[in-house]
Amino acid sequence: MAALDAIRATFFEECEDLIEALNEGLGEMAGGDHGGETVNAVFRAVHSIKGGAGSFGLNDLVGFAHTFETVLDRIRSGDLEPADELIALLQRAGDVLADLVETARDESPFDAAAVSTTSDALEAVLGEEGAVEEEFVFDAVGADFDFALPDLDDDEPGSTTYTIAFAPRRDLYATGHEPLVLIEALADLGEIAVAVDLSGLPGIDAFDWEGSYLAWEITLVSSEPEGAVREVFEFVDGLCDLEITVVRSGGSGDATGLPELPDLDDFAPDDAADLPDLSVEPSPAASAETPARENAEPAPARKDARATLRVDVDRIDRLINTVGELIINQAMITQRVREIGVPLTPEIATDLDDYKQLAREVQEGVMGLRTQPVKQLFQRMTRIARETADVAGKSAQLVIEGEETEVDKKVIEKLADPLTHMIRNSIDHGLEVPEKRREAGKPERGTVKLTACYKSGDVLIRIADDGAGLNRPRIRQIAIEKGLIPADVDLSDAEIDQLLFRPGFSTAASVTSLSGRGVGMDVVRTSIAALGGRISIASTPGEGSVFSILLPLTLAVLDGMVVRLGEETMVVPIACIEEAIRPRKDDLSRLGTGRTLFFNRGDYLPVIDLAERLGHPTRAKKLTKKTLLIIQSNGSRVALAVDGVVDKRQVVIKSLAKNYRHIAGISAATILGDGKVALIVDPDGIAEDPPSAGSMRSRTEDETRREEKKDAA
Amino acid sequence: MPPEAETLAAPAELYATVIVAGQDFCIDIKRVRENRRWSPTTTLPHAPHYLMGTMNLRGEVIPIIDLAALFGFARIEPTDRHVIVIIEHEEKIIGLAVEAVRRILSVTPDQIRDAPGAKRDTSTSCIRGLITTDGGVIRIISVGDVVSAMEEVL
Amino acid sequence: MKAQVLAIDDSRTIRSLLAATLEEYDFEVTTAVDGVDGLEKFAETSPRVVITDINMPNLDGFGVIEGIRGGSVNKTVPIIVLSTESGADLKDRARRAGATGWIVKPFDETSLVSVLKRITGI
Repeated sequence: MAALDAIRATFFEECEDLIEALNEGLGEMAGGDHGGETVNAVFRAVHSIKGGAGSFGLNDLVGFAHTFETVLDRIRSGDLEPADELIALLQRAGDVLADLVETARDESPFDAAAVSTTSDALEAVLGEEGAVEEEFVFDAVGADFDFALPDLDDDEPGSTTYTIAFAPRRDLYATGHEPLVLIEALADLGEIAVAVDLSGLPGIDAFDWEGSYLAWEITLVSSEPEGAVREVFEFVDGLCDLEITVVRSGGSGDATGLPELPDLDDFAPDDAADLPDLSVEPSPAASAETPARENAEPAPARKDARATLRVDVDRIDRLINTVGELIINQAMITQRVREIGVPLTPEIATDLDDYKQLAREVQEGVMGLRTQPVKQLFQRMTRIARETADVAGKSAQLVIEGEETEVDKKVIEKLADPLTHMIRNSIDHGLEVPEKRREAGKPERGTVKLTACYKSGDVLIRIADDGAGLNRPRIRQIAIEKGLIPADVDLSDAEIDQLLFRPGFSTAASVTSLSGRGVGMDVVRTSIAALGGRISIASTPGEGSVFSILLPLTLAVLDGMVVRLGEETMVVPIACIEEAIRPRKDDLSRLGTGRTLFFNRGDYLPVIDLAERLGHPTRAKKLTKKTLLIIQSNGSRVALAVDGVVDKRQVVIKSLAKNYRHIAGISAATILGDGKVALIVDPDGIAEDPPSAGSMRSRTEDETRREEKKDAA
Repeated sequence: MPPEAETLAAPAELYATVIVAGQDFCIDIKRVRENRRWSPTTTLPHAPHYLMGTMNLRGEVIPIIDLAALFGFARIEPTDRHVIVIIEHEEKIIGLAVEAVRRILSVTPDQIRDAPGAKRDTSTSCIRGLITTDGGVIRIISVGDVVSAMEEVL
Repeated sequence: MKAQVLAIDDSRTIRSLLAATLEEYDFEVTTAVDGVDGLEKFAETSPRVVITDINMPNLDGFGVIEGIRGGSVNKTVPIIVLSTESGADLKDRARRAGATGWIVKPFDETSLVSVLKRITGI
């Protein structure tokens, strides 16, 4: 089949959704929901994977799914009690199934040991009898119907004459059969003569339109064996009175001496071990009684009632890009019109406003196409949590909240690694071992809460554990050992916590099979920053730690404060700005050489000159002539000095790294109304120490200017 | 476009000749997306001296390299007459500032000579060959090396 | 005119496979994602034959069969049940509900088409 590759791709795409549904359902079961529909949804997910996998001859996948499904079926039917241990096993099985799907997709080898261990465990649950109740034959053989039935006239030379007395019952019609089709099928086997018996027809008064009054007497001369003739009637077996008689067998001339045919039921699929993949129901039971339906309760709310459309992400991205251009174009036109200096007529002013409004609406609509719930991402974390707990010897549960929260798809993709890391950290190093927890009067099973919610235009993701809290003396000790801080420095708790994010706090030497608290946290922070987000820690000894990640809803736009730095224009994300202040001389004070502090709301904040930090050539200007942006960065506040605030506006984010590379202190770029590029400041990067990677030139200039500023101040 | 090349064995390749610091250079035309007139750039922090800054190319933010400065000549003082040659290399789009774009040259591989010079030196490492013409020597700029030079400097 | 087939299955993979196979044999295929969708599409397209999965969300295959057989339009349409479950009781129930035929997944195109032919004569 030409389209087979495409369908195969569809299958793996669908598997992703099914695995998600599976994990979701198992999560609900773990949460104590053993309701029929929950278990059924889990069953269905595994079942659908099995069904699709069978079509592509993915036998390992089919085999495992089948065992898995059988266990689920037992739970569904109430034969098995979904105890905690069993659910844990099901979750492991879910992981194995996901792996099998992945390896099947990539055509890579799978972890046979893990599969057989889990498979054995599942079969052990089923017990002896039920372990392999049906042997599936999954090769898509071109099954023909003779295969299922005994070929009694094996070596029959020549032809046989059959007489077939066929009298349909009313159910035959009711179940969609058509005698004509059957007779035609017989005609395909050889020469036929058909006589219809109309004697059963009642008078028109008594005629029931749904009744069955006709019967046929058919004579067939065919070289086909009797099995083939019976096969024609397989679907109607039990729905008609049928009598097939061999009148004359061509070869032997023996018309009547055939042994009686075995009852077709003897060959019913449920008894046969080696059925072909196509089997036909020969059960005689068929009556007009009200059909039994298992799920008599009202159908659950229709989850996927809304029609959806799968669209290639690239197409959406192109659309988003074009809309971004539209926004820039709109800003440019507005600016150009203003620059002409002609007073605007009210009509033009209104039209421009409408244009702006429409462009924004289009943009919002298009952005919405890119967002998706964090659900799938979060569910992947349950697996991470489970595996980490197993390896680390911890008893842990991951509680998920707010999984419907939607975030830009790209953000979700890029969040997987940092989140994995943090979940591992929380369990491996945040939670205490069960004995310790017991001693501390806590439940032995630790809880890590992974939550997502909207917070004033951003998305807040939190990872909170109820463990021992950060070991601050230890962190401090490590930082001293690594030479990150002087041994005698006095640090607040928040400052100690921030050490975790310092590059070099953790080194390769401390990487365990999982990861140490702090290992790669600088990488985590960098990844989050690259998404335009920020991360912070709060920790209470004995009670646990909370990591909070604040992310923009979309990667494509940002609410920014447009600021001036000498000749340059830059953008500072509004999200991190607390206020913008023109400083009074009295609030500024010196600390050591060149460092200035700004007194604000009872705190002394370090002042960072943005132009200087970025190595921009600016003329020295008194701080009192500048504007200070008070920003929140890494849990502390700093004052960012800029030459002036120009505007507050939403800007379209453009990657700088795509054509150039990442620049310390800069998160991205945007294009302003005049068509010029403006850089977007990364506040956390700026608040850090100046990058040692800066070029000699800018560093010397920094120093020169620092001297100049000292003189000027 | 020049007429069809006569040599069948080695098909001619097309190069755009550009003037950098008064000298002739050329760029494989397959790498060139378009030429644009100079427009003011936005300064990039912590950038090497030959990086003039960045500009907006229909919504893409692209870095502009001063080829003269990269090759060790004095930095250019950009005017309206300067041209930005927009090149593409491994999905990166970059602008090369030059004094002028002259003409299209059809060159067969046997006309290209190896460029002598140390690989360490950006003024020569970004030259992948020489073409001798009646008018003198034309250096072939290796676009890939220019891009890696930009990426390496941190 | 091509013969209309309505294929109801909650698995996108199976729907694609059915559609690809049947279209190759010159059937015109309409697909539905679950029982409710199936009954809606049934009313819209009035197909010559229905192929339905059993275990589906919202409304299962039995529901589909009952819905069609209990309706007033095209109620005797052939309905072929397509399922990986080959348990005898399940088939029994499908039969009692009024299914015309039965195919076990995974199916191959020969068997699918031959069953269709035997049931519909197409």
